Amino acid sequence: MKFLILILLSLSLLLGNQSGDKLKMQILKNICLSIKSENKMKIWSDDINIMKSFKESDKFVTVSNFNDANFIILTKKIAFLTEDTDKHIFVLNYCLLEYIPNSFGALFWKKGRPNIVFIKSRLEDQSLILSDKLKPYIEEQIW
Amino acid sequence: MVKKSDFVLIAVLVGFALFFVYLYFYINNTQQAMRNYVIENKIKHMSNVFSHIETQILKVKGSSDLVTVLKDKKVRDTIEVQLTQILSKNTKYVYFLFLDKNDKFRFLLDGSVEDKARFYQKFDPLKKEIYEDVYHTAQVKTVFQKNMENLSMTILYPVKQNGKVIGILSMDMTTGVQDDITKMIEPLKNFFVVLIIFISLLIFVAVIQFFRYFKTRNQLFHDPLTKIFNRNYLQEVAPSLNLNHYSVAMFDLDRFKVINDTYGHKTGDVVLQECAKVFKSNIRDSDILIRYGGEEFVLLINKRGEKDNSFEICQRILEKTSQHIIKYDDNEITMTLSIGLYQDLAYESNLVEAIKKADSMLYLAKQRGRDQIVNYSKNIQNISTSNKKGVDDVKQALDDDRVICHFQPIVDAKDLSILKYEALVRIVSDNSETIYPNSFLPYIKHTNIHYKLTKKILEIIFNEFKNSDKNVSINISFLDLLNKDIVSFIINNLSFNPSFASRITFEILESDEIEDINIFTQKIDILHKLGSKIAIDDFGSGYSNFKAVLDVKSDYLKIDGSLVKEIDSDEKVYSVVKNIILFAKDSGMKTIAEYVSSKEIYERLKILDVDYMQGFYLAKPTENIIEKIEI
Repeated sequence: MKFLILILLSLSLLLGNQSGDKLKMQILKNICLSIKSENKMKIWSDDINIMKSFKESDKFVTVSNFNDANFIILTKKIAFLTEDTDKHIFVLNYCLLEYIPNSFGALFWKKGRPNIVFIKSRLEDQSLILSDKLKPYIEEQIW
Repeated sequence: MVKKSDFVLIAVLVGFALFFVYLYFYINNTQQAMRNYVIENKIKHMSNVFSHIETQILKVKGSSDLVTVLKDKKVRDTIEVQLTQILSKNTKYVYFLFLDKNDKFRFLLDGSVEDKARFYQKFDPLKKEIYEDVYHTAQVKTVFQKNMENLSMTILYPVKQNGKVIGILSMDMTTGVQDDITKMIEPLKNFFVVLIIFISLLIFVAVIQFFRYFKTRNQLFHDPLTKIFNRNYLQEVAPSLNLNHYSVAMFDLDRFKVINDTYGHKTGDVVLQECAKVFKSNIRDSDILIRYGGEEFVLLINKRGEKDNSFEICQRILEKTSQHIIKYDDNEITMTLSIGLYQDLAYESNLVEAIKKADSMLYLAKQRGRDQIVNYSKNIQNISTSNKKGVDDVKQALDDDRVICHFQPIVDAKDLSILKYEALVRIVSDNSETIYPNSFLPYIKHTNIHYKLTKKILEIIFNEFKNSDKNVSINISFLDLLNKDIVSFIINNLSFNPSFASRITFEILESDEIEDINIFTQKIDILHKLGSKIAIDDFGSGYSNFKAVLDVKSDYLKIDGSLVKEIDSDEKVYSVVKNIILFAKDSGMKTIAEYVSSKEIYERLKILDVDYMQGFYLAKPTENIIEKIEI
């Protein structure tokens, strides 16, 4: 009986994690679809799972080489990222907004809830236009 | 077929299972109720704590702008320390939210240790409308979280100034409380789950057993050959049968043994199957047809309606059976049926007694020439009653060891020396009177008691003569010789004692029961092989068959007493006896004249040169053996 309960618990946890990841991917994709930029979006991420998920969708163009991408999704600060890069950078950690000056927005979990932040000045600098449904998430500054 | 207790058992098990399922859900509800109770208490408790913090916030705020005041880290630290104190195993985050003019919630204070928010950082709560509702209603609200880390619930406490909400104190609780309750309840739930599984298994096993039981019962109560009910079923239903609603008919296939002996047992089986089909197709669903044994069937006819048409049903079966042609192995066989019918079962104490009555009617049907129905009626009631009495008397005598033998000498006609003694059965009554065989033998014929009696007589005779040098004559019927027990008993006693066997003569009465002369000769051969002698009894009347007498190679021919007693008064009888003696002499058989009751008969028989004589004139049957004849 205990074994059965253990299996059920593990399974539910696994499913729970899967649904968290799924939600993150869903939000990310929605964000990407809701951003208008001058050039066609070529996505690259340092997270293999994100890349895999985007590749599976025919709505996005992913590239395997960082240099070929114009839209970067980062989970952490990467060494080869220069401050003067013209790539659009979206981060998955609120603090990275500070560490990566070019990053225009972030999706992160705060108190267990998904939170989205876009920095107004950086959006403007990068000529990125958000759809109306993302506008409530625009912030004047990083707090 | 199914006992009430079987259903009760299943019903009880199902009842238990339902009860435990109910208990399981009851415990689930209890768990929910406990959770709600804990939450309510938590809210109550937290409201007190939050109320204190609210006072602190309002105190530092005063009339200033809240954001401006709390911008000061020192001020924030003072209050956040108090918020941090609220944290516990089950309380993960405590923070103070503010709704800005753009309807965005922002952290002003955060007492959380982990995942601490920055001052004025935007917060996107799930179910934002509830947060906004707290702002509008100024009431404490709870938000139940789902699939969110390990958070289960958030308590939202409005911080009010002058009745206006200026912020929300928010506390995120982990699933710990729920886990604690679950931990408390889980063993009990598990117990009931195990119990439900166990009971379910029990029900499953019971149902399986139930069906197996049905199958076994079905096999137990059906005759595998004819697929109709067997005697076990009769025993099963007999106690519960309402005798008022039934007639009973006993069927017996006429001369079935001849079929078996002529065509073989396989054909016999086919005949039984075919006849059973005919019976079944001519009865109703409410009638009960039973193979009683061998070629005997019992039909319990349900008396539906006011008119009892049991006789008509029997008549129909009788006709249809005789009309039915059974084809097997290029043979075409027709069978006839004897039926004993008894309709007044209500007068009987039980079904067994009713069947006995039908059986006695069947016996009469056989006696009257077969292929007919004999219905029990007032006219033959007396016969039947005496039949029963005869059977019961013999049975009782056997049980009480009151069966004895008298011995009558059979003497040499020339010198009156004793050749042998004929053993004659007697029963000693309760009041020590001697009962003669004509008072009981006719009634026990064809019954099991007859065989028992024969066996008893054989026992008595074998014990009496085994260790003497005298010869003995034993009466035995053809039916007795068909009984395996009796034949085995004879073989067991005589096969190892040829000297004793040679001193025994079996007197066999020719009768209508000898349907197949081949079987008859086979049985006689067994006795011959043992070294015993054979005498044909009562020759000259009834079923006398010269050919049969020659076939069985009889040693003696006993001239029937009805002829002997008239030999001195009827010249025609004299002539018949004379010819019988001549026939016997020519065939190498010795003759015995019985019923020699007078000097005149004795003298005439001497003239005819009969070999041996027996009768009251010479010696009466006595319990003790007579050693010498004195005329």
